[in-house]
Amino acid sequence: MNYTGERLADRLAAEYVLGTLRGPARRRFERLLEAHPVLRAHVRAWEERLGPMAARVAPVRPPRRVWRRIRRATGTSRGVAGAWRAWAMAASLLAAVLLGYFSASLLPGPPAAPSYAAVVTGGHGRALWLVTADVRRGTLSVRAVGRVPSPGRHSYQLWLLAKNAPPRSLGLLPSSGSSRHPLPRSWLAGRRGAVGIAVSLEPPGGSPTGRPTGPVLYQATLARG
Amino acid sequence: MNDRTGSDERQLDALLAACAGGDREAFRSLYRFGSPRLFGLLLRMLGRRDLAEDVLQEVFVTVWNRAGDFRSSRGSATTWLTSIARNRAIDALRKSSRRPLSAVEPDELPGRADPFGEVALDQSSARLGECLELLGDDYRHSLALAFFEGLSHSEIAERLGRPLGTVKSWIRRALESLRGCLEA
Repeated sequence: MNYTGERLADRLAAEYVLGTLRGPARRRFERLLEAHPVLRAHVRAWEERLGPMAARVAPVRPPRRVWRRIRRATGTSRGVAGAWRAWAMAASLLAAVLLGYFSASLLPGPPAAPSYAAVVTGGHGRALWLVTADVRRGTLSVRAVGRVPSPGRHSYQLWLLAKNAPPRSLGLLPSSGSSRHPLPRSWLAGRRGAVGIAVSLEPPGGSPTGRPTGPVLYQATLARG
Repeated sequence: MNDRTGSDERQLDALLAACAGGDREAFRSLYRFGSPRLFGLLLRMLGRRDLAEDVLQEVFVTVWNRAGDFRSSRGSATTWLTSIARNRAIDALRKSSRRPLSAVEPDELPGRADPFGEVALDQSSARLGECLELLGDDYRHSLALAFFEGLSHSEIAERLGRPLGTVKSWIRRALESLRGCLEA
């Protein structure tokens, strides 16, 4: 592409991203995008330039029906995953009984505030565990989503980090599958500000002292969702 | 603040990667984190709650189906999501009748008064804010009407009571100086 063409491409990309390229011209440009990587690079650059403007709009939580419709439309609703869900329900029920924790409700709820989540990532930003805290039920769920390196003869132990408090053990972490941990009441009562989780490598069965004794391998922030 | 933003961004990246692998829990978390920001933007652009809900649904269905594309695109996850939402909104504006503003409660329209007046949220946003400050008021206002309200050239001209040609050149020059400033 010559200089003039390059400039024109950049201008069109800018107006496309801004949204002022409209009508048939917009359609034509979208068809060109399919075929021209250079044009796509211009568009991506403008998306990175203008995109941060969107952060200036105040967030508004959408009504629950939108998520229900999305689940139906993507086939990710309970109906499709019936067997898996039933298993998860049974497992969570068992966990609740074993831990002596009585959950207020085991109904799988739609996205409801407040909740927290973190993704524990390993090398190259690969996700290892997905951690979600459900404050209403007082539980923290952990699921191994990636290929978690084997801890060998050791155990992975999960810690809750809070401001001005020592790390608190939430129990051992599975290398595969999922686990559920009760959240300490003190954390539920006083949660605010930055909190996080950490994973340390401990002797089999967990730290003998109640504090991390092995190396802290991973850390992640629990972000409010 | 920047650390927090950076870590949120990494979480979104990881969630998108997990979605690409068909992980439904990750998709659910992505929705929890990503939807309020996008829904606020869609309400602003579309001015209609029903339409904003429809487009938000379309956006997340697209995200689920195309999460695998994200990895190769190299940009930030937030930008990727924002771009999908804005493109869908512009398509929806083309198809639907122009927003009856009365259909939306005033308090449902977030931050309508001065979109550029708010505190910058992170580093890229802060730099962008500085660059926007350097633009003349007319340039900045035209950009805001296009970006936040999805107005076309002629709609902006009508809103500001200025000739179409003038508005077109304001926007062209605004984009040029913005790029120059961001690359400086």
